[in-house]
Amino acid sequence: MERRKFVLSVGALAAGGSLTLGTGAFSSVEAERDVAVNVADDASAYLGIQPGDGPNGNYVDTTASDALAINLTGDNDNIGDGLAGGEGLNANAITGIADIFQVQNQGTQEIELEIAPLAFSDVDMSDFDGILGVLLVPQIGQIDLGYDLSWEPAVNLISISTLSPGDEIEFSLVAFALPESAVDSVAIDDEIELTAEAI
Amino acid sequence: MADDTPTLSDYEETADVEFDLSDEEIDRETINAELERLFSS
Repeated sequence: MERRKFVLSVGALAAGGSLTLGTGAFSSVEAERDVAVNVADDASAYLGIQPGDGPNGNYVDTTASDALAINLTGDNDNIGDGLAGGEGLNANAITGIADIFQVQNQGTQEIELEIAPLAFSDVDMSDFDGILGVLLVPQIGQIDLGYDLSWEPAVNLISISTLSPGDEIEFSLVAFALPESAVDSVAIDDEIELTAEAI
Repeated sequence: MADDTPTLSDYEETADVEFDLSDEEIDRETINAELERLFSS
């Protein structure tokens, strides 16, 4: 009995020894793995900021760095190629442009999207009360995806949650320029800030 | 979502501006109707 017990003990010791040898067989490892990182333009980035799918997407232009820009001026590069020559809003009128741009969650997590400002304005008080107002409108009135729409008074910001990966929000624009003599008297040159945060 | 339909007053409040349309041919109701149409489109 004593001898058999001794043999088993040796076997156990050998098995344990081989495990120890296995983890200690090398002192260092050098391996190479690919890291691929692209900086994409707005349309392809993880927060996709794209022109609208329809013809009104031509009111959106891109800057020299391929960033999206709403461009309702004579400098829009789409003039002659999707935009037939118009160079600005009508005076003494309300202009509604549906689906001008869209924002899509092209990442991996649910996000809360904030956009500011929502309203832009210019008022010419020199010779007359020329008024230009531009309002961004999220097109979510008919969508039942559980979006939580939050208007933030005095912050000029809209918060939309929850945008899951693949979800997109389309935006429209309502603008008014008054009165008739507002032509060449009022204009807007500003920026929209989009903030996406994982939730 | 109907209660969330934005109006011109909402935008004025968020932007802390006031659009004086009192002497103009275009009124607030027309702008609000366009806002509602696009919000629900």
